[in-house]
Amino acid sequence: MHGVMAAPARVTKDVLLPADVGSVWRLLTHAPSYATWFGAEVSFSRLARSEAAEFRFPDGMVRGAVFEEVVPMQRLAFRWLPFAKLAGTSYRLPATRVQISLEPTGEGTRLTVSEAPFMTGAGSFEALRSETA
Amino acid sequence: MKNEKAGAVFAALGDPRRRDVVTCLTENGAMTATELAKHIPVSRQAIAKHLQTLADAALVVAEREGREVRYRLTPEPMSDAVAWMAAAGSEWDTRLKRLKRLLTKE
Repeated sequence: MHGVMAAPARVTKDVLLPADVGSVWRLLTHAPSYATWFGAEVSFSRLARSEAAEFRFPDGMVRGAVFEEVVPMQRLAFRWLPFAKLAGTSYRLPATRVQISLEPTGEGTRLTVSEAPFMTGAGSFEALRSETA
Repeated sequence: MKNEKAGAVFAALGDPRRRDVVTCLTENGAMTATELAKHIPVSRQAIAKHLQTLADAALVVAEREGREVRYRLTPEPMSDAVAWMAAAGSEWDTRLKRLKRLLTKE
């Protein structure tokens, strides 16, 4: 095992959901629902390109993101800001792009999520001490 | 990264409390389970269990200093970015499961 990655890496996951695309899209665009499935309270004033969102995690971490692509019933993408705040400290984190794609299938909807790039070095899990203390 | 090792790392970092332990060790260097329990609001016994899981995934090592056992993060088996990616992958697994459950109920 090596501690250094040679290339940017991507996380890709998919799931077959027992609902039509419209129902899935409604959940993805409804901020209060995120507390149930995403594991964070999410707030955004408008779901549109260049609009900001704020994610509050149960451990107190607060992280911002910016929507980059909103194609109704098809695709939602946002980019995490490159830092998060936890207990008065800012942490440098990878500014990955999260893309959620929906595709209707005979049985429901296939949802594919990908998050990338996770780069070695840049964006490592490092505290920016006292910046927000 | 071998699959079984990657699996252990994913599982270890999939728990928010264990990520708290990793964060604490990142900030403070080597610590005992008792010291960690002062920073993280769970019992010393719970911390000890989390440390064991992290040790099984080779993310921390235990070092005896006199009567104390101190735990420190290992620079290997992964860089911070890989660790974060492992945690992100594990979080997405959980989120997609919840989303499926939510839509099954509707």
